[in-house]
Amino acid sequence: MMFPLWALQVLVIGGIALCGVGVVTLIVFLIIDSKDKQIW
Amino acid sequence: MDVYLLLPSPFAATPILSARAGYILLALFGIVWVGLGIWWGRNARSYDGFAVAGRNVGLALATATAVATWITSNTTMLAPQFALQLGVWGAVAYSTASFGLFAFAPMSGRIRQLMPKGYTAVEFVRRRYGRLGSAPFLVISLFYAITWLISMSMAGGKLLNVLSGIPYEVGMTVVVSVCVLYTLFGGMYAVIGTDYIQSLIILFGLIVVAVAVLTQVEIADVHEKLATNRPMLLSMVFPAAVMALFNNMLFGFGEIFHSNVWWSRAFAMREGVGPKAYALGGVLWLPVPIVAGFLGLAAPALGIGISEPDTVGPLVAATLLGTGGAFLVFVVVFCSLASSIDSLLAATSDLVVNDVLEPWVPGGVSDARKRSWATYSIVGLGALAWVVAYQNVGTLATVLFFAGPLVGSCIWPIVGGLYWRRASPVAAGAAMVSGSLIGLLAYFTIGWFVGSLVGAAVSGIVFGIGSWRWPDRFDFASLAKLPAARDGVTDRPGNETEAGR
Repeated sequence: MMFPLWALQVLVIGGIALCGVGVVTLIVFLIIDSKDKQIW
Repeated sequence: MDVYLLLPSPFAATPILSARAGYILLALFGIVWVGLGIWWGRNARSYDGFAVAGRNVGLALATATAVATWITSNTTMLAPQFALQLGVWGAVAYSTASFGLFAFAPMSGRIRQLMPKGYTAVEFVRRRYGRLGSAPFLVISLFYAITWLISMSMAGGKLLNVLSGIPYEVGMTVVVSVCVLYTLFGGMYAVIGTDYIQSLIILFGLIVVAVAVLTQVEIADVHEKLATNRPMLLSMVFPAAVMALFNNMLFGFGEIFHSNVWWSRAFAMREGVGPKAYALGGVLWLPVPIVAGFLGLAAPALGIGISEPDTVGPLVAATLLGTGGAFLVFVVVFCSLASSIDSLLAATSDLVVNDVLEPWVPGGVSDARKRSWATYSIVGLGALAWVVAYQNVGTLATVLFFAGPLVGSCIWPIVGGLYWRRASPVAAGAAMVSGSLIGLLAYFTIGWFVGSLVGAAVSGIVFGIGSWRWPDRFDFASLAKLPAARDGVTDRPGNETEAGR
């Protein structure tokens, strides 16, 4: 039994999207933290 | 996350970048990183600032440091190889290491709440279980941290050599020196600050390379090529990969639960931030091995030679993106290495100061003296790593394999110690020693894939029986008081034990 194509697509596209979400999240969090002077 | 379990890599391939370009990049990053260390070091004059960044790290930096520290050079370099040799399950198995971060999320909040002035994991174990528990735990912690530090230093020399042709000794020396310097100046501030930048670079770099692959080849083509030529890689019942999945997960739990790299961050995060940061860090780390693994799976469809699977990721990037791709890979690998080496230097220095040296000084040690000890211990650890790594003994990395049973045997004593007042010193000490020994025996007699499993299982059984037979009645509130050496009281303040008598 093999991994279906859709499963591979979900893994790869989902993985790349999540990496993108990660970059955006970290930047947004830093902006919020810096506004509240909560970085450190 | 260090997955050396299946693939002790020889790292042998043709450089994708000229040595000159490699030296320029190393010099640039070295100057920037050390400069940032000096800049952030302004806040690290006290030991509290140096070791735990003032205990006030916010969500952005806290999340990023969890992501960056868990991404080692292995995550970016070996995940493609893992996928190429174990298929889709290989990449998925690697990503299960993020479960350790999820599991540690609530524990980090508990740690911060129980020990608001704590510094290390060993300090917790010493105050929770006394010397009976802390002696084996300190040995395991130091063994693991120092072996990991040396193997990361060696990986630095080898990877820079593979990527750019820079001689092993030069690359290793530069990576270790840069990390020692900025950690020395900036302490935990520099470690966490650079982790933020490094996590952005790594995630962004992976997206660029993966998107470049998708512009050249459809996922359907990759699937078709694999189904035709290497169907095993798409198999849903690939036994070795399924075993790797469970072993990696357990190794990940043990590695995170016991290591001071993660505890020191829990102490450094502002109250309430730890659980969110570690859970989010797990979510953001989860896709990294899968995306990196896809580079390995796509190589055959792209017509890229895979005679040297350990460098398939960089080869894919360099082939598709040319010099820019090679630059990107070099930077991503450098960041992956630095984010691990700096964390290990800082966290192991905390162990040396708080758990090796301080307990020997009656009446406690001043903040200034600890700050000074931290400086010497970071230089000493860097020198030790450099001296051993310079020998370039190929089999040394395999020593880290032994860590599986050792860290696996720490899972139950740590979890029980944090949440269960009946967990006793006798049970914890016996669990760690028996789990380590029998786990190692299983490792040598049966195979690597059972080392962590047996270590954790034996430790769990011994810990359960020990705590049932000789229960403790530990007072968790006592942990919030200043540690023994700092307030001149007993070694184990909450001890109302029946077992310790």
